[in-house]
Amino acid sequence: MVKHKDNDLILLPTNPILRVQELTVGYPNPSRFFSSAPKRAVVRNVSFDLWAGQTLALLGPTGAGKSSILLSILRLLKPIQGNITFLGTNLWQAKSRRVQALRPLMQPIFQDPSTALNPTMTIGAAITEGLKLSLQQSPQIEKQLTELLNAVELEADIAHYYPAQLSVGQLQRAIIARALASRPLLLLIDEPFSALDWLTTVQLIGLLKRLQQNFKLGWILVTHDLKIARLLTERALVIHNGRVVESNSISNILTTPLHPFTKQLVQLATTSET
Amino acid sequence: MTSPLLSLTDCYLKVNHTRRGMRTLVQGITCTLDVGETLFIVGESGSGKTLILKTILHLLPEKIICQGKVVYYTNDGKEHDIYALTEEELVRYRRSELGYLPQSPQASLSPVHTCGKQLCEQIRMTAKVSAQAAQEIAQEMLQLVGLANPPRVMRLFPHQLSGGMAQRVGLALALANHPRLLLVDEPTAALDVIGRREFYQLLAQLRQVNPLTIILVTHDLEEMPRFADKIMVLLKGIDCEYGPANTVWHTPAHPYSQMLFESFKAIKKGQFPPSLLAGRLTRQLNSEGCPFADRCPKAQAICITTTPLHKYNGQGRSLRCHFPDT
Repeated sequence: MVKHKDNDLILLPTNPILRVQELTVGYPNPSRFFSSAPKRAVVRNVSFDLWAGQTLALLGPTGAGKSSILLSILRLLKPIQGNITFLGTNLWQAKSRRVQALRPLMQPIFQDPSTALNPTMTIGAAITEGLKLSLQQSPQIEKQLTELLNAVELEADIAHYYPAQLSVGQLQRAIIARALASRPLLLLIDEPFSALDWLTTVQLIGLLKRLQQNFKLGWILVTHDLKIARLLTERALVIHNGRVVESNSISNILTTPLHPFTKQLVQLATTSET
Repeated sequence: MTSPLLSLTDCYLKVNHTRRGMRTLVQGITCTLDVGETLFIVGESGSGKTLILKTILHLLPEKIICQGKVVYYTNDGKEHDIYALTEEELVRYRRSELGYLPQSPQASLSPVHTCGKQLCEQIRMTAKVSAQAAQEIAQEMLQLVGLANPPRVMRLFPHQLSGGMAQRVGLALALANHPRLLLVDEPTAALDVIGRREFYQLLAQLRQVNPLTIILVTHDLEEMPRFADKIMVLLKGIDCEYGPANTVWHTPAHPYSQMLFESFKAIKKGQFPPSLLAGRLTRQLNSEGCPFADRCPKAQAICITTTPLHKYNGQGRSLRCHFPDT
């Protein structure tokens, strides 16, 4: 059971924290932007459940609509059809106050660390914004900030630095710390390592795994690379041409891929180089 | 017998930082490239990879000063110091010797001209052909880079292309005037794993058709061992390790390249290299000292105070580490 600042937000272990049903997301047709023509769907009929502490990968090529699903869950892109239920609340039908109370429990981590933080705020200030959300008293904030920076393995004095003064690896850690500041249950991670080198990637994968245990986190990871997904998630939805073509545990996908596209992904992720 | 095409000797790139004086962005890069070779420059974002390409293109921003020697050898074996060329020679050098594929082709193509128009313009810049002939050459180029239905692509504007298509149009543009040296900047950053494989397959095909010398900047190690003749590992503007691809990939000697390659090889096997997880990031160091000193297991006092100089082993390999594995 997880309790949060609103007493009515109680997490039952029998229910999934996130339930996506028959989700169809799309964008306005670019050639008739101002008309009321129907939107063009990019992903159709996606359904999945996610329990607390579970991890799920959305695997697919560029343009498959993986990120659009994340945007819909974040309430940034209105779905054409379907329901998204987070902790028992239908995100697109609930009142905005209710959604606001839920927002801290679900945090995004975006692709490009160099643009994800406000350049005019120090790292400390950015993280503190998140801490205020989880209703901390001000004397505690300072302590929590140091603890968070410590949890993501950054030196405490980084709080006084501006984003432009850090390396991308450090930035991505700071962004993870900011996401954790509001004590989320669910992280929505979009291609987190595409700007990083492999050494930093490995270190961050290790960090995320440790945080998962310490903070009881669940996450949805958007990626096109099965190599990364297999280290970070238990289960995957393979999305191809706007449809879920396969939904299985990562280990099953690796051993017995069914769809031709999945087979291609597995082959690319596992063939050893010469 | 191979002939050299390009050599960089002790290249320093410095920028005059208004408040904190001179800042060094790239420190003493040294490498040589022979005709027909492929050099991979790998390193994390912000390590100066793109700056090196811009140095070769002589397209550095004005406030960045280049010290050191960049020498280009033309077909007849003559040496040209790029930073001593006149404006006119420079234009000729860029147009007829170099092809450049920038990081995001979608953004670097002109949004208000069709692909065909841009391609024809590029072709007619060097070759004296009629507009009609240029059209035909352009279509051949598009065919060459593996685009289906070239006449249709010619009529499209860049925003109508997918990422992979834009990449190919960019490549056709870079190859339009038959350059001897192709500079490729992060070609796979915007592509997914399948697009990446296709891009490298295409590059391999092109290399077979005509002898191309390629400098490719990337942080993706996936295709490197199969593709590279030489590797340079770059960290915060310092060329940690440089040499023939086989030796560098299989027996890296610099702690950074060791850990970098080891982590990639482990991920590839679906494992986790436990020894790497202890790494702790500290503040960015000042320009003195080894850039890896804060994360290096072998670091000692000298690593923080002195920037390591090149150590050569005679087989075209150089290392910048105070305590390398031998």
